[in-house]
Amino acid sequence: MKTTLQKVAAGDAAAVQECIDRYGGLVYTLARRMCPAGAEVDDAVQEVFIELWRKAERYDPGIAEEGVFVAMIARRRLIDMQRRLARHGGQDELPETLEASGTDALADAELRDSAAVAERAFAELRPEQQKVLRLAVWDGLSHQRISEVTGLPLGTVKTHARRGLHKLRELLSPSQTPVTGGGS
Amino acid sequence: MTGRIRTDSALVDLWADRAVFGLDPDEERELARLEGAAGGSVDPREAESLELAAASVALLLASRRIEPLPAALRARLEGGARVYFAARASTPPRSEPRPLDPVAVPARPEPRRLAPWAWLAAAAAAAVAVLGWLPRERSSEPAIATAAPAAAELRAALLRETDTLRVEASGTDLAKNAGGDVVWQTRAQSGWMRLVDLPPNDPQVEQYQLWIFDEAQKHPVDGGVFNVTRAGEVLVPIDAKLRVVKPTLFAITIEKPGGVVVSDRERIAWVAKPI
Repeated sequence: MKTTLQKVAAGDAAAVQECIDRYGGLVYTLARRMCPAGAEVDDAVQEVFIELWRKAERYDPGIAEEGVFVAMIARRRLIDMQRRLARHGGQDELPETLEASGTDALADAELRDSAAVAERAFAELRPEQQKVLRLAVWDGLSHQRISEVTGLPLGTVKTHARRGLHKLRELLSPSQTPVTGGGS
Repeated sequence: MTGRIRTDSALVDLWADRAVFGLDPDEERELARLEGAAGGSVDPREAESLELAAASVALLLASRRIEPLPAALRARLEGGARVYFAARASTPPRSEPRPLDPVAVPARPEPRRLAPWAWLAAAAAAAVAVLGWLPRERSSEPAIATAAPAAAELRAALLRETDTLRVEASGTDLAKNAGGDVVWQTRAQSGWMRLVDLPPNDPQVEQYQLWIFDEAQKHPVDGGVFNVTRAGEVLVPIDAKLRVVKPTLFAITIEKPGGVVVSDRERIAWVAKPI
């Protein structure tokens, strides 16, 4: 059975609606979080979806959960926007709060399962690795800012990030990850 | 995700840093240098597996506080999707292998700014052109006329970015009357050749191939094989096979059908050298 992105890649117009339904909230949430000052969130979301449609054929269910692939495409695009705007005088500021206000839980069961798989893997990281990755990936802080915020030396920040990432990759590799469907 | 670890730790460290923090221009250059030095042994899936790991963190944290897509934005995405897929569906798929497609340029001024839907259509048409969904042989005007505005608009959009490079080009003795320019943006790793009066080639006999000489690469980067099917002005998307950091020369050679991995550079037809 084809995944949503595989159907999109095959030119199934109905799958596009399914893609927006399933991943619209995720992309919008990431864009709201990562969109740099001076950029329109709506434009960013639209750019991400265009990119997603173009890259849909590259999605391989054997490599990663579809939601993770979507998040990767979104992050790539949003990081690119951040760099573009930073070069043009944009800002790289510490968010006022490191905890965003929560709203809806994930409605899509498949995406919820993907998040649960990621959560289990993330929970296996050391606390300092979790903290650095959260500050970098979610709060968008540079390693310098994380060093300032946490008091950790710069090299240590990078080491935690790298080791945490490698550990996550290992935990999320297909040989470690059961097929979704059972929830958490 | 793949679990294979490369032994080149500096390269892997930079891939990890890029996945988590993004890289500054100096780090980008260093990464390109290391990738260039590693040559064909670099597996892009290795870098992507780290990006996917970082994305799993993003998915996890986003899932705790997901925000619903606003209705107006949903409608905009749906409208954009209709435009995108209609443009894509208007051109049939074709079989591999395929050279890059030149697109004839209509005689009209480039627009200053695209309307949102025009941009979407342009993006779709570009995807069509770059992915090779346009017919290889263009004997009829309509296929060219349909795609040309999109290519021109995409090139114009790239030119509006302040960090886009534009280089004048000229023909060699093999194409004395040829000219045009190259538009290249390193950040997006994309660009266009505007070829003026480069002689049409017979794809059964020979094809054109672009080479990008890069400060960070030991050998020139293959920029794609393409045909020129008509006289006049055409746009060809650049398809760099490796990451380009600082281009020092763009050169088109004439090669056997399908192009070559290593050019003897004996038949250089067109060059564009950044100042």
